[in-house]
Amino acid sequence: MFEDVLGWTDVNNNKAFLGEQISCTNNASSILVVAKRDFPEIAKVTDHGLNPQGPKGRFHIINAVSHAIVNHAPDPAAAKAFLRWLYDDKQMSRWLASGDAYYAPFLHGYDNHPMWNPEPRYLPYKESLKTARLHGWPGPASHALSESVAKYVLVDMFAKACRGDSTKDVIASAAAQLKQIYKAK
Amino acid sequence: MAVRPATLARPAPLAGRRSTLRGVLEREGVFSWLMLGPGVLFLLAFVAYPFFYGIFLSLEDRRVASPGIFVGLANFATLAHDAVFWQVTRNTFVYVAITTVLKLTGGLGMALVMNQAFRGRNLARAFLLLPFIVPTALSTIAWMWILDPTFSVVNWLLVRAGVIASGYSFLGNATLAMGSLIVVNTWRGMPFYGITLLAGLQTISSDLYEAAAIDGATSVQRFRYVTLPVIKPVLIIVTMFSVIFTFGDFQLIYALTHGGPANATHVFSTWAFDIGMLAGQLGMGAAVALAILPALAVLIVGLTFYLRRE
Repeated sequence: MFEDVLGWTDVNNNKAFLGEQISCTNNASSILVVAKRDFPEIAKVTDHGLNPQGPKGRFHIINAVSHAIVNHAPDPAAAKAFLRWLYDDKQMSRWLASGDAYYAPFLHGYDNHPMWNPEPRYLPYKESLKTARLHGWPGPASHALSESVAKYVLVDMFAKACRGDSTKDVIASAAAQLKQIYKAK
Repeated sequence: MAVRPATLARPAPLAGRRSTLRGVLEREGVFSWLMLGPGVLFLLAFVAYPFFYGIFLSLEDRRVASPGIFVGLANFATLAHDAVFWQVTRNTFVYVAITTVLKLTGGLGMALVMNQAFRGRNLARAFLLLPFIVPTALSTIAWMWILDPTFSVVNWLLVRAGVIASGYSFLGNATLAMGSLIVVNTWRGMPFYGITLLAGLQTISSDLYEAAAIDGATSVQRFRYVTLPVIKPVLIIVTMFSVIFTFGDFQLIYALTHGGPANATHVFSTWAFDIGMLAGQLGMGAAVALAILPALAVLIVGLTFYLRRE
């Protein structure tokens, strides 16, 4: 099973958990949502917790979902008006509440929002925002960063180390890749 | 009385009379281009334009929502120094080479069998064609289940039968992952070879086989000296098409392994997609996609010349 993980795509950890192959994984609330619906016995014994703390602190990855208006939009005023309407609390509240904590809101104004009430097991997602960082933190967000993420540089480094390649070699090759990506920008 | 054979010649138009629209249209030079027109326009719009635009993109540093900066061959130079690019190149060639050999031999065997007369032949032909007919998205989902790390039916059967203690990692082990993709591509593509070669086999007159048999040729010799030479052009053309399609194979690999584990199954098309679409680096993605071009061009030119010589 160990080797299987190296070939996992986005859905495999959900399946492995619900298939009782694993008992702990890093994921959004989707596992519990599906478990409550289709695997009630597993749902009864499933909970969420923050990532363990290491010597440098506690960290979570943040995948920011946001809207933007392109410079060449034919009607930027209308686009802005639409986004203002969309992000108005009346719309945003409904959307957040319907999401089963799959999306956590950025603004502190939502810290005590009713979306956190129905299921106390989702509260760790709210707490995780305090220690959530963008990929590449403390480096700045940049094209080079997004390229290194899209090329799975760090993920592959760990995968190769896990499958038995020499730690020194995998670090060296990942560093070389990153140097090439960042130097080219 | 001599009878002249009827001709298609029309009486010459009266001097001084203008040619009609119909007359113009019926000229071979005009009519043939008219008939080719829609096809040519389609090719220009959906093949030629994206192709040349892709070349243009590959010469730019072009990110999503940013104007492009012309950088010449810098993208290609960057790729040449990228170890992952060479791994992707190796993966692609290995994938194409092995699947082509397997599909060719399997397809030829399939065609030879389907060319025989036996009861249920038409049903057998229909079933053998199914992998090619079923939409790739659908068959890929089925294979995802067959090779799934948790729910693989192959592993379940083997474990239940006591053949193995724990399941194989079809998509997690680098070699098995490439092997699995080769198996799936072969399964899907073999009928294409089979049906095309069958069409070629059916053009072979049975007189040739009878003559060879009378001369004492064994079935192997009949295959080697009668069948193969006649179907060689078909073989070459179908191989050429299959190689082109397989070089550009995307959905199968992306759905099953997404190029993993650790780039072990990334091919040009999937890596170009990740770079172009996920990282937003359209110029670099185009450069990767065009990396297939030299190899393909050499192959196609070579095969075309070989065909012409034949």
